[in-house]
Amino acid sequence: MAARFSNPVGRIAGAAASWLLFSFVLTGLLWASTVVIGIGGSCASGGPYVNATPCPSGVLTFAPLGVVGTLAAVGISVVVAQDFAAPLYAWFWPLLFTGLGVVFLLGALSGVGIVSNLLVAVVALAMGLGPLVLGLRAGGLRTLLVGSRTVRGERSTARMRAPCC
Amino acid sequence: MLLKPRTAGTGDAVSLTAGHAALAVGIPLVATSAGVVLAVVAVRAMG
Repeated sequence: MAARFSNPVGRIAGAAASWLLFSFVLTGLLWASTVVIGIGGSCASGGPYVNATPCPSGVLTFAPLGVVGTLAAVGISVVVAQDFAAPLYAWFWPLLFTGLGVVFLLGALSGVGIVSNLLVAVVALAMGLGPLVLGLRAGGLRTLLVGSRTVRGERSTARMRAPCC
Repeated sequence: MLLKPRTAGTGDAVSLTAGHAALAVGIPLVATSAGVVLAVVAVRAMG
């Protein structure tokens, strides 16, 4: 299936679509996390009992969408973008967990469940920043920023040159 | 025998031009900005 997208248009469209989808669902997921932290850290909807804290409708949409959408975006990046442009498969994990870490940190700073939020924030930040450092050491900043293949699918060297020479 | 210069093909490492680098960074950047804006609009619409 990947061969079908092995052309410049496919790679450009894949890179754009994967990052568009990922940033959309991640923003929604981080917003949903912020809302849940703000209403005490948990909510529930449905079932035979009366829920003490019902979930806002946006949370019910964006929390599951964040999980499924992230996986779909990474799939598009791997199959369609094919190492062209900033590789989402290397970025999604650090962005997801660093984002969640910041959200939980802000929750702790706002005075809601200070200890538990702080604990989750530290773990999430470590889970996000650790792989980012490993990725930087393994692939280098340039590969993380521009990918390892050109739009035509040629392997690109780390050294960049001006278009003139 | 006359040797022709070999042209780069798939699998060969090529130097990255500034234009390619701008494309490779610019596309995800623009797409990400659009995704964030769309998400904020969707979140506000849901209330």
